[in-house]
Amino acid sequence: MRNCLVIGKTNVGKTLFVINFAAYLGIKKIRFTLVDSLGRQHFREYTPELARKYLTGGKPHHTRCLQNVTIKFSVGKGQKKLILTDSTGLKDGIHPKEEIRKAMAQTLGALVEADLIMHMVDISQMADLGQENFFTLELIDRQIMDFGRERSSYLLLINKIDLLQSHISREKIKQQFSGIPLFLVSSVTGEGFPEVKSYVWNFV
Amino acid sequence: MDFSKRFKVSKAPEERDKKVDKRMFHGLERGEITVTQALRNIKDYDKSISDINQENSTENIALILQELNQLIGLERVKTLVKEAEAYIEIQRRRQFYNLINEPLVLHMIFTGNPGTGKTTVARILGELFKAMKVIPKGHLVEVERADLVGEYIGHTAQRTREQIKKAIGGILFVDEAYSLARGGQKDFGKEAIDTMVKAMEDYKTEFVLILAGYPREMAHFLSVNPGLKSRFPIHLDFPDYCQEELLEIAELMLKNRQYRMSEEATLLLKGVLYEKDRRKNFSNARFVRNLIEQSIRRQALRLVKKKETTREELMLIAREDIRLEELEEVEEELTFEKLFGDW
Repeated sequence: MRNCLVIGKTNVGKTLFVINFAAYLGIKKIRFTLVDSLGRQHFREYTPELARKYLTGGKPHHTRCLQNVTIKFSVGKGQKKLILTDSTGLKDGIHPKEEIRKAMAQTLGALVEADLIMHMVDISQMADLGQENFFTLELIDRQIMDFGRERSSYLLLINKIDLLQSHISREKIKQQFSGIPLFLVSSVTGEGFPEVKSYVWNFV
Repeated sequence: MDFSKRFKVSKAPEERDKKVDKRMFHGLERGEITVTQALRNIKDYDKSISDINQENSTENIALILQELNQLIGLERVKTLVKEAEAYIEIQRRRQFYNLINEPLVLHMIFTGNPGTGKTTVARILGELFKAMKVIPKGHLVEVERADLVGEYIGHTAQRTREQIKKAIGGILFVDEAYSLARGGQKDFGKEAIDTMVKAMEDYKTEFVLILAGYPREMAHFLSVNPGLKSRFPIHLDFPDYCQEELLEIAELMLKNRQYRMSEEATLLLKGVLYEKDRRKNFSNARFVRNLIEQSIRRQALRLVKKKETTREELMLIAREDIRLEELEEVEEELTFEKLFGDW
């Protein structure tokens, strides 16, 4: 059983990725285990459509606790389990709401314990055309990256690739982050999911 | 969200072994620090843990180095160890910055006369490399020709490989390695050498191979196998001890056993250890150790007859305790042979 954490800033599409990835893997009813900041577990079952409707949205901090999805798959004759954890988005600065602060602390706790860190960033917010290096990472993303690469298996998911303007080549993105395992995905269209799947399968 | 009303509430999840104290995040929960600060704290915490581990190992290293420094003479070995230590540390620091770090190849050749400390140094190096995390186990597997060479064709490779397997994670110490090249082309010793050379390349970083032997024989051995010398980056020569060094060794040995020599005994020993008077197969420190152990036994024999002994007497090795039986034995043997010849 491996614990796989999806982490990133707010509104980069973590929850939608988890839902659509689970749907891509053929799960009809997604069973979420919500773990609140006191460690209590609550179960909720959604179809992918309903999950998209209730769990995602355009506002930041829609997810306010850890949401685990257990994915079972067969390897040879046996069965293996993968826990995909969706987390509260991180945002720099001190958030006024205590609930969100607690949720962010919980995310960091999960970050420390995760076996595989899937770090999600939003390409549409990174593109900075004025500079030589097109894509800049914010401090918090850089910190997560450093931490993840030092600590355990780390994977960079560059999300919202469908919003990328056509004149920016994908090769250029890959070049800039060479040496880091990286996948260009789109939570909405499902682009890049097969590659992520094969990587995660190998990891488990 | 109020979970308890809307959802079924279950028990808390099983406590996993937590690597980081949850209290670290309290500042974040209370709104005292930002997320980036919290992340920095985690990193610092990680670092402090690894620092603690490192401190333990540096303490170990210090202890082992102390043991090494206690050995008298062997300046060349001590500088080499310092070099290796610095190199390993720098490699570790380079690793931190994701710079290319080359695996350390530490295969060695030790040459030196009997009793110059080859085995002792190998044993200490094993522990030292273990503390430095160069090799995981640091044990010493001591082998000689008889352990490596087999009885029939193909047996040698098998036996050699077995010994190498035993030494993985530690040090394989081949004593009197030159004997593997003895016996010409048909000898199985050559097969053992070939197998070892292969293993050295295959398990480059997993074990340390040390070939040891007497200088003259080793020089011949290395000239016979031209590829061999270049495969050993470290070549250590153990010179013969000089008179003062041997005397120091003797005094240290006695001190460790809580004895001391009288002045006359020291003078006598000094005379015995004089370089020019040494015999061909003089065994340096081993000779001194045997002599010391023998004289301790002699002292016991001398004192046991007395009814009362003082503390001083129990500690003192007198001149008459030191008897050069070993030397006399050789001479006796010679005279015996002479006698035999006469017969």
